Amino acid sequence: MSETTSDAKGQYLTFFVAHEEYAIDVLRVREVVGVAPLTRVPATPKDVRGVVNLRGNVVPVVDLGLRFGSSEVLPTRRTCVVVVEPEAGTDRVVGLLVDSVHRVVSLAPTEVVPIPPFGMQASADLLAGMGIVGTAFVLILVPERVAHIGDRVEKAS
Amino acid sequence: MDDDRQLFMPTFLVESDEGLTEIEQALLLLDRARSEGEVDAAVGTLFRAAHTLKGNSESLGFEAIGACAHALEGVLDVIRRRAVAVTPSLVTVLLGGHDALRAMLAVAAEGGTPEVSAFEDAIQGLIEAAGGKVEALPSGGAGAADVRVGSGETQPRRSLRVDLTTLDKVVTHTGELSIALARLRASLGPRADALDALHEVDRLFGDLRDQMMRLRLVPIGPMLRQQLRPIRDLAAAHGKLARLVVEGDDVEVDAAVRDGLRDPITHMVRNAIDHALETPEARTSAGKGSFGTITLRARREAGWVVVEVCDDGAGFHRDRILERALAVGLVKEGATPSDDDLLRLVLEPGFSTAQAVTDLSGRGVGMDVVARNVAALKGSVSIRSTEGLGSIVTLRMPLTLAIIEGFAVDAGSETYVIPMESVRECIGLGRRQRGDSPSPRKGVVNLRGEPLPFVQLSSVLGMAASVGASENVVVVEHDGMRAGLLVDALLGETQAVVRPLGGGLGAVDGVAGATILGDGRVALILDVRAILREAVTGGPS
Repeated sequence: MSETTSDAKGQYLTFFVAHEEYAIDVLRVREVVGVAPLTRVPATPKDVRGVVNLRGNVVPVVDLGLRFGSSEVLPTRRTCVVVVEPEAGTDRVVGLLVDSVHRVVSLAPTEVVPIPPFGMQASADLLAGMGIVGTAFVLILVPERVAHIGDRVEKAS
Repeated sequence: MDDDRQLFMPTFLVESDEGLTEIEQALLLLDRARSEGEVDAAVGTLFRAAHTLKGNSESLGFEAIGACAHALEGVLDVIRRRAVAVTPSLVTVLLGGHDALRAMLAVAAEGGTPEVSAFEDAIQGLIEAAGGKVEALPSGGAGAADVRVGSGETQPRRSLRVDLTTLDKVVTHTGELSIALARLRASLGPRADALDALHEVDRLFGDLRDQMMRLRLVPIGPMLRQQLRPIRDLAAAHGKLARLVVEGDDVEVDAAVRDGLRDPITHMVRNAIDHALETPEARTSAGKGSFGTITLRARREAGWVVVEVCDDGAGFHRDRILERALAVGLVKEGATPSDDDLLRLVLEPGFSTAQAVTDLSGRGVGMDVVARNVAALKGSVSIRSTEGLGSIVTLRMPLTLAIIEGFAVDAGSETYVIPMESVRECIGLGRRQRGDSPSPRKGVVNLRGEPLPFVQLSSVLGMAASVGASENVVVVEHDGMRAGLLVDALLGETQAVVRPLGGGLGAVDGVAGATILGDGRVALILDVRAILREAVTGGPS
C-alpha cells in the first residue's frame, strides 16, 4: 500500500454514490456535466448505461451504482456525469454516472489509510485507499479500474 | 508495348505533368539565381525531373519526348560544367524546351504519338544551346521569363496542407456549436421571427459541417497508384512481368485511414510479386498470359471501406502453409484443417510462408503484420485463395469520421441509422402478416410475391423491444442477401457524421459507429452485414 500512499497526495473530487462518499484524483477529472440523454449500446456490460454526446464526441457512461454492486443511479436534479481521463496521456474519455458531486478535498499522504478488509460496498480492487477528511471517510478510487469497460457480453435473449 | 502504354498512361500523364511543373519552376529559379549554389540547386532539380521524364517516356515508346528531354539534359550538363553562362536567353531556350515537352505531352494525352519532326525547332535550339550557341531572341530576355512566372503560377492545383490535429479541433468546435444551437432552439420558445432566423443559421451550419467533414476525405487512388513504381521495379528485379490495375480510385476515405492502409498494401503488393506471381515461363506453361496482374480494388460498403489486393498468381500453397503451421505449432500433427482455417493461420503472429528469406517480404515479416496494422485501425483482413489461380486479400476498414447517407429509424426506445447503401425500400406490415403479436420478433412477409424474412431490429440487437405495435419493415440487402428489419417508426434520410464509439467500447457487433442527431442525442449506425449474419445464425427464437 506504500505505492498508493505516495500516489495519494493532492486534490480529490468527491461525489456520492448510494450514500457513500467517493474521491477521485482531480488530475484525472476532465469536467462534470449534467445527464444528457443516454443511448444504449447492444452487447455491452450491464454497468455501461450507454453513450452520450460530449461536444461532438461519443463517450460511454458507466453507472457507478451498478459498478459498485448496488442499484442503478436514478436520475434526480443532482445526478451528474463525472467525465474522466482514466489513463494519463491517452485520449480515452469515460463518463461516470453518480448521484451527486460533493466537494474538492486536499489530502496529505498521512491522511490516507489502507482500506479495511471488508465493510465497503465497492469491490476492493477499485479502491486505492481511504481518505480521512475531518470526521468523515472518503473512498479513493483507482481511475483506470473504475472506468474500465468490461468485455462485451452475450446479448440478452 | 501498346498494352503497357494503355496501362501506365494515366500515371505517366499525372507524373509527367508534375515533373514539367517542377521543371518550369526550377527554370524560373535558375533565371533568378545569383550564386553558384543557387544555380547548382536549380540544375540538380532540373536534372532529376528531366531524367525521370526521359526514362518514363522512352519506356512507353514516346521517342520525341525522350529526345527533347535528352537535349534539355545536354544543356543542363554544360551549365553544370560551367561551359556556358546562365543568361536570360539561355533560360528562354530551356523554357522553349519545356513548352515543347508540354505540347508533346498534350499530344500523348489525346492518344497520339508526338513526332520529332513537329518539334524540330525546340529540340534543335536546345542542342545548339548545349554547343554554346544561343541566339539572342528578339523577344527573349528577362521580360519573357517574367511572363512565364505569371502563367507558371496558374499551373499547380490550388490546395493547402492542413495539420490533421488542427482539423480535428475545428471539427470538435463544430460539434459544440451544434449543441449550443440545439440549446438555443429549445430556449427560444414560440417566437416566430427568431425561429426563422435560427432556421437559416441551422441550414448554413449544416452546410458548413458537411464541408468540414469532407475536408478529411481524400481519394484513395493516388495512394493505390503509388504502388506502380515498386511493382515495376520489383518485377524487373525478379524476372517477372507484372501490371497494376487500380479500380475505384475515386473512393474517398478519411486521411488517417488512407495513411494507415499504405504500409499494409505496399507489403501485400510486395508479397504478391515475391511469392504469388510466377515467372513468365511458368505462367505460359500454366496456360496464363505471361504478364501477371495485380489488382487494387477499392469500394465503399455501408460504412466501411473495402480494399482488395488481388493477384492471378499461384495462390497460397496449402501444403506449404500446413507444413509451416505444424513447424510453429499452430496446427497439431495429423489434423486436417479446412482451407479457410489454414488461410486464417497465415494472419497469426509469427507466420511466414516464405521458404527463403528474401529481400522483399521475407524476414519473418508476413501477413501477420498486415493483420496487426489493420486491426489497429479497427479493420479486418480476410484471404481467399485458389491454388494455381490466384488470391484475394480483403481489407475492411471503418470509415471513421466520414459522412454517410443514412436512413434513421426508431426501434425500442432508441434511434438507429441504417447506411443508405444497404436500404432497398420500406414496406408496411399489415395486421394479417403480423399475426397475433403486435410486434413479432421475426416472420416472413410477402414482398411482391417473394417471401422476405424479417426480424425485429431491437430483438436482433438484444435490446428491449418496443411496447407498441411495430408496423414498418425496412428492406435491407447485403452481399445479395435481402431481409427486412421490423422497426417502430421511419424517420427518413439523413446525413450522418460517423464517429467511433469512444472510451474503449471498441467494436460492438452489429454497430458500425455512432452519429450525433440534430437534437444532440447519439444514434448508433448499424452494421447491416453483422446484423444479417446474426439474424441468420440464430439468436433466440
